[in-house]
Amino acid sequence: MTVPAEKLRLGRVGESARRTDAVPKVTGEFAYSSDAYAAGMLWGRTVRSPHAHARIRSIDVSEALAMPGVHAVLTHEDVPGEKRYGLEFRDQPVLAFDRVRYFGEPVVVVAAEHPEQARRAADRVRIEYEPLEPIVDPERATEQEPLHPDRPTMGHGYRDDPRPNVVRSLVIRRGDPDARGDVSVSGVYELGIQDQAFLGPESGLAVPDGEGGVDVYVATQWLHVDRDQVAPCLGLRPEQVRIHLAGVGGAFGGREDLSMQIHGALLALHTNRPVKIVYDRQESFVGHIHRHPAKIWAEHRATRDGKLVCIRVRILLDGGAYASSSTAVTSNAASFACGPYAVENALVESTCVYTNNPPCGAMRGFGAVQSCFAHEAQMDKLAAALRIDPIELRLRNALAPGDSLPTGQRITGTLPVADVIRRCAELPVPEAEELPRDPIRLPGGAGNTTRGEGVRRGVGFAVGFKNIGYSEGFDDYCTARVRLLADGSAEVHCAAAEVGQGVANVILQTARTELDTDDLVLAPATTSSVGSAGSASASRMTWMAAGAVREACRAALAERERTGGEVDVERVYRHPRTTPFDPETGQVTGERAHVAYACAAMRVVAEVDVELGLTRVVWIGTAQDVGRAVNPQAVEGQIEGGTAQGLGLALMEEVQTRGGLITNASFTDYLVPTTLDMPPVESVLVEDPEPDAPYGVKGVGEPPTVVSTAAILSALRDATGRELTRVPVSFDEVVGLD
Amino acid sequence: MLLREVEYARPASVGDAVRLLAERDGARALAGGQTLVNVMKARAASPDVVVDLNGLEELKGIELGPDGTLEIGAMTTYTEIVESAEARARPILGEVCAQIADVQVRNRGTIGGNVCSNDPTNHLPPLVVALGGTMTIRGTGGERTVPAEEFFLGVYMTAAGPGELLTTVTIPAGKADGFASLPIGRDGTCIVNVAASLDGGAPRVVVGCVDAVPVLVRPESAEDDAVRGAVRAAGLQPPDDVHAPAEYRRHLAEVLAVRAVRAAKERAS
Ligand SMILES: Cc1cc2nc3c(=O)[nH]c(=O)nc-3n(C[C@H](O)[C@H](O)[C@H](O)COP(=O)(O)OP(=O)(O)OC[C@H]3O[C@@H](n4cnc5c(N)ncnc54)[C@H](O)[C@@H]3O)c2cc1C
Repeated sequence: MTVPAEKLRLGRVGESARRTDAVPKVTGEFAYSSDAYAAGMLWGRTVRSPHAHARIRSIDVSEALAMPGVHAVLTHEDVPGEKRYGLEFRDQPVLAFDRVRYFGEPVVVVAAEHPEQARRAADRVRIEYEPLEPIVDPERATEQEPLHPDRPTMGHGYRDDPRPNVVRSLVIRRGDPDARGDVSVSGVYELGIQDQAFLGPESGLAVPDGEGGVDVYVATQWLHVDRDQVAPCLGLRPEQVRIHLAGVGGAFGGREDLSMQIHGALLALHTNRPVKIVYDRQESFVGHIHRHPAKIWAEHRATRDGKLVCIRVRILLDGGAYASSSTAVTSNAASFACGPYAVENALVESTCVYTNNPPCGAMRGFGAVQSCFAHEAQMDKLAAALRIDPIELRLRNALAPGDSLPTGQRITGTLPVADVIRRCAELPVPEAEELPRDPIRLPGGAGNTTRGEGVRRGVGFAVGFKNIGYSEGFDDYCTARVRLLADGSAEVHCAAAEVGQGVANVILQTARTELDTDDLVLAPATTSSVGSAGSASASRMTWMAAGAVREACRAALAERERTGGEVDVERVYRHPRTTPFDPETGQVTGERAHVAYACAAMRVVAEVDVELGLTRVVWIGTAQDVGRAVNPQAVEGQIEGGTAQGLGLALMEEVQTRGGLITNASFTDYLVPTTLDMPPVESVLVEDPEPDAPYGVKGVGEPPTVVSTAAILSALRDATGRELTRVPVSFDEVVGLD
Repeated sequence: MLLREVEYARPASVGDAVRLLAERDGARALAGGQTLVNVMKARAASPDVVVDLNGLEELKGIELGPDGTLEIGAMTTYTEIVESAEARARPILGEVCAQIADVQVRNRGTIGGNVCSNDPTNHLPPLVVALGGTMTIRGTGGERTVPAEEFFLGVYMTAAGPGELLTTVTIPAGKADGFASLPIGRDGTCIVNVAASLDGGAPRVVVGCVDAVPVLVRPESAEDDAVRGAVRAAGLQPPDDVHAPAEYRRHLAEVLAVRAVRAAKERAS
């Protein structure tokens, strides 16, 4: 195959350079973590709780251990160090002891010569459970027995909530929360549990180093934080555990928490053999945390001419059995509850509770998705009550730099809310297609469900925003190391996780720009050759990696200028410092609690078969505040992918549970959008460089997910005339059966 | 995912296949494998021996008789039906086969496997009942025929019992047929599907996915109200599951029945 010369261009900052992983992923040559292999490796398997809540009476591994090919069957007693781990708080057992708190919680791990032997041995582990009443209703969780009587999330600077089962509760109070307007609209909104549904299930390979340490090759989002959780549980020093990034088949927040890392390492150290663990799809549904389901009560008060006077919001998030990153999701949901609008008076109360439902944590949009769904439904409702055009209403209230948020934080960077609204609204909406047409272009698709009967068209609009980077005083940084070699080439080290978002290109394009050469390589991401890059999450990685690589490149050039020889420098980059919220008022205690913000507006055309409840999203136009696009094509890819994920939440994606047990753990029963569900997306990149960021960049991965669910629902309400207060929207609600 | 160990046989004739199936308790016929291999992977079924029908030419192909009758071999794939000139004698067959899943499934999956697995969500069981098909079954004791409406006995159970094979599906001449379904996902499994045929007098309306077997409803006329009323009077008890509540499925059955009959009427005129 010949490739035209311009296609091969490697590209600097601002160019749509071809991604290094694109071709291998398409041809199937890309090595995912599930492809990892080592000579003589064993296969690990996890025995999981069939109960959402139970006391463990006894564990008997003797029969399993005697099975052919079995090398190890380990329980909590075999965990040599800390028995618990956790991203923010150590509340999650490596292997359950005393009790299990969610369906699928790991209790025992097995290693055997062959995966089938491991599977059979796992079936022979005898665990005696005493089922306990599960807490499954988040609205009642604070009145029930505490799931964590030792309150592991206490004492971290958050407001102490005396109620049982509260992970975190945050109140933001601004101005006069009792201020009245001329009109008021209220609503109650609900979101189901969404799964990240990455295609590459959790998998990795742990290899003992023969000296008591271990190397773990795994698909993850933050190598160093994995190491810092794994090492204490193994009773090892951090440098004895080396985490290496294996090919990541999607992440979306679901790989922030550990999955097989400690289990694989335990088995490898115990057997002195490499151990590989690969979850199957069903196991993957319990193998990672999900997006928090939420219930949101909102009231918006405004003047007759559409100026917001006061917003009151109560948010309830179900965190499931363990904390994961729930505390940050709680404050994010609160921070963005009022939307990208200027309002003087607000009362926002956001609470996350522990239950025996599936554990929830980080997922693309991180709290802002839930809030946006509610605040945009409210803005449409307000527009209808005031008979003001919904886009005009949003423009009248749009936040702008210099304005203050309900948290008291003044927007010091860029935030072109009015601009993204206008640019999006300017995109021409396509005409309705003629009938008859190919059924694939009608709701119901190939099912030939309608030939036009019952089909109505609707147009919707939404705006959303979200923070970029870690917040509330977290000491966030990114490290990069640059080696300039004698032959003129360069080597860049950065442990930023390439999760498919294209950060490898960000690093390469930055280094090519700064070093003004194409003769450079990016070394594999590992904890063994460079310091922490922080997490590939919170839409932060592009900003942080570009910042660190730029500093390291500039320092390397200066160093070479000085010494003339080969150089090897490492630099740590930090974004502007943030400070915590006041625990009583939710007001900022310094200049900022969030580093920066990014916004997006989206317009959606949908067709709905109102007799059957089927939907076809026809067209999406969006304008997004991207700061500056390092790689415009990659930005468009993020916008399309992020929109697809929001479409999934709007129309089909929900992890369903009964008594805490997941009832649809497969891609037959948990549906994700396919290319047939996704309409063309027309995106406008609004470039308004962020003053605090390298090259003016902003993260771009989350805003499309934040805004798309809300925008699609707006279109469905327009088509059906129904309130549609819950996502994913159910067919019968669209039809109006009660 | 790996399968449990399983024996494999590839008989050279239908007679051998039937003998193998009758001899061994744990024997299962393997057609396109689009259901069987999946249930084996999920360990919902674990046969001791799979009897692969793919070498049996006698079970493949479509013949169009002089009176318009179609004889479709059980091992004929959906793609073969979609592409067959003969099958166009009853156009609905190809149209519905073209709606099943994706290209890979259509290239492997067979009409015999589709009706013999009798998954209540499959497309073809209600269709063969609506079209008034006849099923030919071969056992060690010989051959018999069963009308399609008596073929489906329960979830995953048909008149082709252990040790027997479905060899042919016979479809009479006709054209005034319609089909409407609501798939989950854009090209997926149905929540409710309805096949309708107006050939041979009063409409035959068959609702799938709402019971263990396709439900045949005989409205008095092809008018919308008559169809809707007949489906309502059938007192369907559809399942309530992760995809949809029972009440919604009942509603769907009525709307889709009306739409399927309307499509059949357009064909008739
Ligand atoms: C992703 C996916 C999506 C699908 N979606 C749909 C869909 O939307 N609609 C739909 O209708 N189907 C769907 N299917 C099922 C598919 O159509 C299968 O092909 C069909 O159900 C079985 O046909 P088969 O030839 O593959 O049979 P197999 O899987 O080989 O066999 C199925 C069963 O029938 C028995 N059997 C097969 N042939 C005979 C015979 N001649 N005599 C006696 N017993 C026999 C077997 O022993 C077995 O028990 C889907 C399948 C997949 C994998």
